Amino acid sequence: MLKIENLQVADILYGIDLEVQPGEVHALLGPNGSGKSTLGRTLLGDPSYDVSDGTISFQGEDMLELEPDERAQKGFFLSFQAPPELDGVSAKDLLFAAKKSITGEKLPSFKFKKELTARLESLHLNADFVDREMNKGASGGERIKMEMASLLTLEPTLAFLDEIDSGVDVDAIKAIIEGVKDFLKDKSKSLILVSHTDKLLKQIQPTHVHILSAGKIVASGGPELIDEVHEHGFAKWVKSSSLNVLS
Amino acid sequence: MTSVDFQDLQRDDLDHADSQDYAQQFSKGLTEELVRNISRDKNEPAWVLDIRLAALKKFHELKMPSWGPDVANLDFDNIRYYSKASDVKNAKTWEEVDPEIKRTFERLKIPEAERAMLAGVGTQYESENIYHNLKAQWEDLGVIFEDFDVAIEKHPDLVKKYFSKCVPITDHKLAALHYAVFSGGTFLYVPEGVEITQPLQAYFRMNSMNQGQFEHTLIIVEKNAKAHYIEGCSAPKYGSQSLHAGCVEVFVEKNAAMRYSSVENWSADTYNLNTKRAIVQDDAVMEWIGGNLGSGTTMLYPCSLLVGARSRAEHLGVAFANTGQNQDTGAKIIMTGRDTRASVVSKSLSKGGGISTYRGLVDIKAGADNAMINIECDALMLDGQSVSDTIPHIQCANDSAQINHEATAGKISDDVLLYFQSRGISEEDAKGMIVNGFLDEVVKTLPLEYAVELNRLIELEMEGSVG
Repeated sequence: MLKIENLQVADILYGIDLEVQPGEVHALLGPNGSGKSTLGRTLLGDPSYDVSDGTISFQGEDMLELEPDERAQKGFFLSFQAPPELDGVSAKDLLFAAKKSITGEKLPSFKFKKELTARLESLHLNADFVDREMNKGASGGERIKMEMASLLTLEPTLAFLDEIDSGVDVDAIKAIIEGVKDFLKDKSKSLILVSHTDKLLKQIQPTHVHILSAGKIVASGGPELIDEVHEHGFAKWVKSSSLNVLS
Repeated sequence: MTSVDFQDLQRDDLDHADSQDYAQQFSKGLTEELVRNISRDKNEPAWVLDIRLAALKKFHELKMPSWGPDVANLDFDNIRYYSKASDVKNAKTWEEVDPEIKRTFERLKIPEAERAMLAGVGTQYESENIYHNLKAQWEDLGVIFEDFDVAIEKHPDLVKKYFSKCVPITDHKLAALHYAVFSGGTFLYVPEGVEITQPLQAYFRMNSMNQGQFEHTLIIVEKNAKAHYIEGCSAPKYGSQSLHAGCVEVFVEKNAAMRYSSVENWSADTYNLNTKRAIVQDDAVMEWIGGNLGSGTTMLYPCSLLVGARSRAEHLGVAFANTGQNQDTGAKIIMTGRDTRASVVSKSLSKGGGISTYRGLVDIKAGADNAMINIECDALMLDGQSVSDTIPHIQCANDSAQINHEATAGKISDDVLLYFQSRGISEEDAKGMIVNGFLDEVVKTLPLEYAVELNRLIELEMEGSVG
């Protein structure tokens, strides 16, 4: 479904190779500044990141040729670490327009609102968030829950969830875990998960784990890599990769 | 109840021009002979002609304003000040209206809106009202809603008592011009204690090239009465200038409430130099809600004179300046009564090199104890070439006043745009949603149908905003 080859982004990513198949859950671990978020943003097509080399193929198409909205329409979803406040645009307005754009179908708006309200409540968000201006005055935890609600509403085929568990309280982490599990119920869906906390990774059980350091994937393996990081930290990989970069 | 949907309004519905063979009846240019001819044509009483002639004299004496947009290119000799398109005036049914003119108003969905949600409708085409009707239930309560020309004839004492008492003929050059050549417009009288629950609407349409439109709107809302009046305007585009210099006078008596909503969407050829003012008495409320789009140059600053104790004013405005447009709009609040309150919310957009300016005046007089005013001006520029200015002028002669002024100006943030796109929404649609969201606070105060219309007009302006 997703194939990244030798992806290079000026001064941040130094040749990433990654392949994700339907039903797989890939965890990306690595110290701050290793390029995890840049990879997510590059997959989305954020114009502030300049791809200098490499290819990304998504659903058999050259993803680098597509605008960010076209990538989303093809089934890619990126959660934002700091989702912006939208003046005068409610969650319902945003997601209704998004769903219409992605599916090409216009749903009855009352039905859409009802479903979205139920989804917000299942994520332990107050129902009035549906009509409130998106992210306006919302806490970090509420914003992340809205990102989860967006994910579950838009039903992408591949989601890149970027530190959705950082800086949020225990209740929010619980809701997020339930949301991710809900998303993965459909076995054709794939997930790339960036996380620092053990709890989320333990619950979601990735099929593949990668260690990113200084813009490169320095190790790949199964869930056992999580335990290794948890016990010994990144020291082993960071050191060697730093040397690689310097040499 | 049927409803009206402005969502399918197309650019051509607004730009479409009817035939204009009639335009030759009255020549271009401003002369005393023309002013006398207008008055004679209307069979006006002498006191009205006297006002016209005094105003014409004032027009020649006064200078154009030295501030604001450059209007030096406006050629007063190349404007047709008076023009009659139809023999039928003030029809009470649409069947009586000339078919071509009726079609134009149908494209603008006026008859549809009348059936669905309005208490009464007046439609002016060039210099005259073609159709004017008030639903019987309001007529029975003593409400008067007439073409202004008819009101002079049928209610001379009422008109004489108020006419030019809110906006004097000496106010400024364009006001003087207005009083010299005014034609048509609306007279609305709401008797004491009557609350009109549905809005009344007037629509002003200019059709022919180099036309001038000078309708006079006089509204009197008596004690404890309440009304909502909606004004719509449009004109086709010719690439040759036209002039709109209307005048609106509103008298809001004790404990009365008046809401004046307007969506002015003239063509890019139009100079829209309009004067709107209200005098607000004790405990009364005046609300101005305005959308300004379309015209080439707009100078419009609705004014509230808060003379009564505890009188209030709310000004909500949206202005959109596209390529080649200069939208100079704002608000004037003059407070003389004690415990008066006012709030101004102004939202301006500029795109494709358009210039959008908020120009405001707040004048708190010595006797206005405990006055409170809150002003919020937000400007959104849709690209690097567009311009936005905020020019507030505040003068205060009473130490007990509380004045708050906030202004923001900015562009659409890249992060916000990318966020929309990350959800599958195209850049163009995202910009549309961002603009609608920016204006939401003002647009949602309009009745739903007109909010849809304003959003649709903005959508038409937003076309081609990407690339």
